[in-house]
Amino acid sequence: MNDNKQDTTHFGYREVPVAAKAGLVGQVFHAVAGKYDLMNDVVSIGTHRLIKRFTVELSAVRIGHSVLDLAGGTGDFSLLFAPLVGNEGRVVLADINESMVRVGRDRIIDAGMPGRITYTLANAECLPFADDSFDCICIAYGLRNVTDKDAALRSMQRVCKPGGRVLVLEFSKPRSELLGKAYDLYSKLWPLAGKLVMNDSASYQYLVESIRMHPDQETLKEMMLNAGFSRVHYHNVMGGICAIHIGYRD
Amino acid sequence: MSVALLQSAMLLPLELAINQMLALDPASQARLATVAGNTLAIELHKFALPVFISVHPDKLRLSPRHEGVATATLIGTPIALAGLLLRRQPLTTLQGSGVEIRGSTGFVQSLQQLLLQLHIDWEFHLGRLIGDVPTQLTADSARAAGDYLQRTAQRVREEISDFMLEEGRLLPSTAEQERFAEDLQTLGLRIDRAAARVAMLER
Repeated sequence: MNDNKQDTTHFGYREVPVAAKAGLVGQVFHAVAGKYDLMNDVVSIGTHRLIKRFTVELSAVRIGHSVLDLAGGTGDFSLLFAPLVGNEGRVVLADINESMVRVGRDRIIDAGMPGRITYTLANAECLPFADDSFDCICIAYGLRNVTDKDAALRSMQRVCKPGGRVLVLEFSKPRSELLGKAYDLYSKLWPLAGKLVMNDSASYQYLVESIRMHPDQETLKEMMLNAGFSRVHYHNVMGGICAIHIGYRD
Repeated sequence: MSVALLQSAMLLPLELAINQMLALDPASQARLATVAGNTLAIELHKFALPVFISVHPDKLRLSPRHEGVATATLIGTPIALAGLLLRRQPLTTLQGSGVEIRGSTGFVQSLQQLLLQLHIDWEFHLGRLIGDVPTQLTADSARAAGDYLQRTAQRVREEISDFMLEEGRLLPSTAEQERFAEDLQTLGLRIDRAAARVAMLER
C-alpha cells in the first residue's frame, strides 16, 4: 500500500504514476504554447504583468548578475531581467518543454536580445549547471508542475551562488474565505475560456486543479527551508491568490 | 500586498513615458549607460510613498521599492524637486531650492545633465507619423504661438512693473531702494558707534 502511494503523484486531481507526470504536463504545455501569453492575459485580466513586475522589483537583480529564469517558458521574465543585467550579465531561460522554449526563443530574437539571453531545455529537478552559478533564480508559475518539488528546490539551492536568492512565484491560497470562494467561481470559467480561445478546455481544467493541489504559503516556506534556503519569507499578492516566496543561500 | 501592485501600476505609465522620451534622443542612451547601475530615491514631503529611479543601460525603471541602498536621495516638495530637475542651468548648489540631498551629489548632477542635454527632434518624429507638410504647418503654427506667448508674457511683466512702480507707486523704484539701503547702512554704523561710546562711558 505504502509502496503504491510512493509510486504515484497528482496530476491535477488525478493520481498518476510518478514517471508519467512529466509527460502529461508536457502534453498540456505543448498544447497551449502557441497562445500561452494570450491566455495569461485572458485568465488574469492582465494582472499577471503587474505581478511579474513586482517580482522583478523583489529580485534585486543588478548589472552583471547571472539570472536563471527557470520554467521560463515563453520568456516573459527573461525579457524583464535582460535589461537589468546589462551586457556584463547573463540570463538563462530554462524550461523542460520544447514547445514553450521555441516560443520563448522567437520572442527573445524578436526583442533583439539573443546576446544577453541564452535558452536551454532543462529539468528543474536536476539542473544542468555547475554549483554556485546564479545570483538569482526565478521560477514563476512553474513549481506546481514539477513532479518532485523538493528535488527541484534542492537543485536550485545547489546552483544558486552563496548570497544569491531564489524567487518562487506561484498560485497559492487566498487569505480570506470570501475571496477564496469568489476566486473558485472565477477560475471555473478558465476551461471555458480555454475552449473559446484555444479550443482546449482540458489544459485549463488541469491548470485549475493543479492550483488547488499546490502547497499553501506556509507549506512551501517549510519546503524551501528544508531544501537549505535561509531567511525564507513570502509576499502574498492579490490577497494570497498568488505568493512570491524568497529564500537566500547563505 | 495588492497595494504594492497598485503602487507599481501607478508608476508604470510614467516610466513608459520617460523611456519613450529618452528613446526619441538616441544620444541619451549612451549618456544613460555612464550612470547605469545607480539608483535615485525621491522622497516627497507629505507623501508616504518613496519613488526609486533605477538607471539601467538602456532605460530608467521606476518602482516604489528598492532592494539595496540608493546612490542618492532627494527630499523635498514635488514643486521644489521638479524645479530642481527641470531648471535649465547645471546644478551647482541646492541653497534656496527647498531640496535636501543625501548620498552622491555627483550622480544627481549627472542625471540633471542628462535631462539638460536631452535633445529631441520633435519635427522629425512627428514627420514620420503625419508626413512632412502637416508637420511643417504644425511646427510653424507652434513656433508662432510660442513667440506670441513669449512676447505677451514679456509685455504683461513690463506693464505690471510700470503700474506698480510708476502709476500706482505701490513699490519703490530701484534708486529709492538703493538710497534706503544706504540710509539703513549709515544708521547701522551710527548705532554701532553710539553703542561703543555708551560702553566706554560706562567703564
